[in-house]
Amino acid sequence: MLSSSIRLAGLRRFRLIRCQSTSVETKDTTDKTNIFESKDIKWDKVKTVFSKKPKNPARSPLLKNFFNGQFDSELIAFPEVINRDDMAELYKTVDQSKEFFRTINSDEINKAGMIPSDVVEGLRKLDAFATDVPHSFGGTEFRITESCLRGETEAQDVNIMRTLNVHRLVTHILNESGSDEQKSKFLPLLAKGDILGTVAFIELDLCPNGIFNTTAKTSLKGGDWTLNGKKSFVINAKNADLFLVFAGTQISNKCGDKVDGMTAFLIESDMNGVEVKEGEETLGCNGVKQCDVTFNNVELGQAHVIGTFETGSEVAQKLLIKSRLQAGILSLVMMKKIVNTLTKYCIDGCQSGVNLMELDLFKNSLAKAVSDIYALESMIYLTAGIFDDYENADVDLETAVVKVFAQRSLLRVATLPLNFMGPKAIVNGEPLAECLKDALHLNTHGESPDSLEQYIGLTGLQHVGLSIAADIKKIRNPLMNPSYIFKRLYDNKNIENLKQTLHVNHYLHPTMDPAAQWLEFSILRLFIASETLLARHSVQIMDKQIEVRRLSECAISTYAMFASVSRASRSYCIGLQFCDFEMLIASAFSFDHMLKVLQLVRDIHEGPYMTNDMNYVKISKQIFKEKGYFSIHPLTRNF
Amino acid sequence: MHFLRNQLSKLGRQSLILSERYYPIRYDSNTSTDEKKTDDKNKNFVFEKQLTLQSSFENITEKNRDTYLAMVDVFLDRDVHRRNHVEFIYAALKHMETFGVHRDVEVYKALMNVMPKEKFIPRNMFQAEFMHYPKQQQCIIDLLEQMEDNGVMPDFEMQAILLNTFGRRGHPTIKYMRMMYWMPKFKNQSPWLLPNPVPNDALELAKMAVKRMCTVDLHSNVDVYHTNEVESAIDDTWIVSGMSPEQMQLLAQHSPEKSLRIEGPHLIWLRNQSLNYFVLKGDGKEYPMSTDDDEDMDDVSNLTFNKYGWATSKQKQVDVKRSVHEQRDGVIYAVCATGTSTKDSLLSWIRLLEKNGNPCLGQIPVLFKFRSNVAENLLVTSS
Repeated sequence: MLSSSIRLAGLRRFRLIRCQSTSVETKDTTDKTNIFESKDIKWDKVKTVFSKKPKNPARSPLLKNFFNGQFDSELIAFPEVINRDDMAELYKTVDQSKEFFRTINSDEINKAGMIPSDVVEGLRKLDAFATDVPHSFGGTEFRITESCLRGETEAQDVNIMRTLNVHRLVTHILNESGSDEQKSKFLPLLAKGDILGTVAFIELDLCPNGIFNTTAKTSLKGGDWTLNGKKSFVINAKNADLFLVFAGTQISNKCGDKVDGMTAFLIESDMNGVEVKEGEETLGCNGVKQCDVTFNNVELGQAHVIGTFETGSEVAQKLLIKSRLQAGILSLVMMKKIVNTLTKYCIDGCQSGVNLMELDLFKNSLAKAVSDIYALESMIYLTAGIFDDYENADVDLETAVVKVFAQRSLLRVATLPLNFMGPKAIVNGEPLAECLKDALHLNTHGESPDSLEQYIGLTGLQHVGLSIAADIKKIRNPLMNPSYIFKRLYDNKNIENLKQTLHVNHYLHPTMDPAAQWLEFSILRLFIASETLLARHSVQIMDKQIEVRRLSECAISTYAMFASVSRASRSYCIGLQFCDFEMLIASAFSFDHMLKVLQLVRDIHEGPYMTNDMNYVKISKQIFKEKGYFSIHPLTRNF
Repeated sequence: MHFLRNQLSKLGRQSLILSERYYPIRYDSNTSTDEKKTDDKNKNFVFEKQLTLQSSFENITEKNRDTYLAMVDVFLDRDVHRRNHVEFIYAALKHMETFGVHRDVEVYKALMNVMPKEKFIPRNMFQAEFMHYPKQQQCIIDLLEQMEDNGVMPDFEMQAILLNTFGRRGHPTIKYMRMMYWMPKFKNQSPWLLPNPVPNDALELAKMAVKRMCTVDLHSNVDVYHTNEVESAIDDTWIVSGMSPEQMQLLAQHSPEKSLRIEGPHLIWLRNQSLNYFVLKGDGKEYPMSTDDDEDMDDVSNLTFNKYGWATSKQKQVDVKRSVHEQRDGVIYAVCATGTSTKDSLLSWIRLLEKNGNPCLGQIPVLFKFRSNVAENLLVTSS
């Protein structure tokens, strides 16, 4: 398929808009100006000081516009955020970090349940705590892309990575939303690693009404607010000195009514009423203890609030965006590790004269795992690139997709050894068994994939709703708009046979032609599906979670295709090593996911009665009525 | 044919053994091994052999299963020809209910065994088609019909009897086949399946009834209290009370100025048993009419949803969603059945509810609103 398209494409393509070649380098790397006037900076400590490339003007969001059936031709060129000189410097620190992590014994950390102090000291020396702190506060001020790259080395040890991640989240949020006093008070200390920060977001119990059980109410004494409640699974809470706590609050909306909201508080561990307790033992990730933190009438003032009282959810949004990418990196590294181990196992393994390597079954599984990894890697760096390259980039959905895809594929890949190796894969202490446990643990951490999926679908629909609201109104009132309906019937869009209207292939290497077409069709189908859903359910779509999930899966697949294809095209154009295989991986991945999207959109098109949805709703009703499995035993006699 | 005859004689013996099991006393000889058990009444039976059949069922003073089966045996032993067996079966069918055996498949089988074997089996297609021995066939069809009406499912022994009496093409056998097709299908259709027969114990019945009524709310709890937990109670009986947390919440919101009512007794049937129950009711809650303008359900330009946690459109609801307990004629707070269904036991119920998580009942006046006469307490009825 590929070879034939190469021939065809060579004849047809004249409209390659941006020629991706090595000679095109428009970034100005000349001005390494010293824009930092602060006296606090110890210049010897700052290793990489480069002027950051100024961000490009804001663009409309990429994935959200997929729902509209549009795509951004500039972003398909895969962003190159870091210029060449910075790259060399960055690789130096990355290599140091890699070297350091090679010396770390993860087993010991897992057994001890804590990170040894010499490792912490080593991390301090590597400036691992300072990545998100600006230069003026003694940090290294990494951009997202840079911290992702560096994170890959650190993720060799899950526990250290998680400790660093939460610390970085605190510094990131402080830097983005904190007040000047908060910044100058905490950031220098945080940068040095003298104090450690952590995030308290998750709660063990569901909150029946509201967002969190932990609430801050207007104080009757002392401070402005009183904080009460319990946060669970707080990573590294024992050693942390600073908690970033999200609490449910009553905030006034635009009309002045009180509504449930959230506020971010920065709380020092030595404040009155803060208590850290040993948390529940979990399946995996036991190297760093996760603790319960209880807040008992903690008096808080204005100085403890991050951002403003009302903007807690915006702060949370920033936090989530970063944490999703971190989760992506962690999954990526784990998946790579698992695939590498499995490959070695297949090469060495031999059963009754047959080398495991020769079995198609294993070949197929490994290749699929690798294409998942490839897609995830592409998505992470594409998203990070968009975030770093453009002003106020809206990567909310993109990061959500990264996290869902990462967690789903990590779970898939982590269970592969069960098939490959049998019981050997679940022996306690085996590296792959530990990986499986960690994968299960990570799957539950932060936002759950299911709710994130809903979020992706609904946000997409929200975006589409803005632009096609008028059409939807007409479709839903056919008798009022007969001419519109007839017109619509006339040019009925068929999901099976589409016309190329976006011309994605014009912006990719000609060899990518089929994959580009699949990508384009997926984008168009995503739009048709969104339109169908809005026309069918209108505002009630919020309750149709199965439909939203389908749409969301389409979006995830489409974004993954987009990232893989654009990366493969770039690699091929600039001639990276193995780029021909990158093309193959991207094509294979796109083909799989094009089919997946097609099936999902077909299901959406058919509706709940033609698919099985309604049957399952019916069954579930009986389950709830009987409070569980209800079928009578098959051996029962009726007469 | 020979084979069939063998089978039949075997079956005849079998049915004899069967009847012996139920009825171990023989009347034709006083030398039976069970002579000790032969009391005066049984001797009476022997004597009554001479009476006409129709009246014989009516004349028996002690009407139960044993005497009924005894009657059948008396008929069988009267003479070898079993004259008038159709009339006998019709008479026996008529009196089944008074003997309390109308739900007993064994009794039906005993009656069916009254028919002679082999004689009525059609031997060619004409006989089969033109209802060989119509009177006899109709009699057994009526017997099966009565079984069906009483919800008694036939079993495979009955099939054997029918095959041996009327053969494969007999109309009663076909009726039996139809019954065996449909009756198992309807047997378990009830969404609130009860044991068959339902227990005789009133407390068990009450528990079943209250549990069934509480299925409207999955969170409902069914508690069994005893009146001796209340100091001032006169009756000594049980109370089965059903209430859900949501009802408790609704009750807590009830204004103490408005009274509550205990309404009843209502009747609930559990198969053939009925039971009185009472409900604690209050006036319906008034919700303010929503002041918001009707939202345009077709407008998708402003979809808002909860970003943290599960997104639903519930928050956009125009009106308050009433719980299932808030009906048009009032709010149902709890339901109960007591052992005596007296005013006193109902009072104890209210006190027990107050003690168990509804302190607000102490302030709210509770009125009785009865549909029929209800005793003050048990002592009054017994005196």
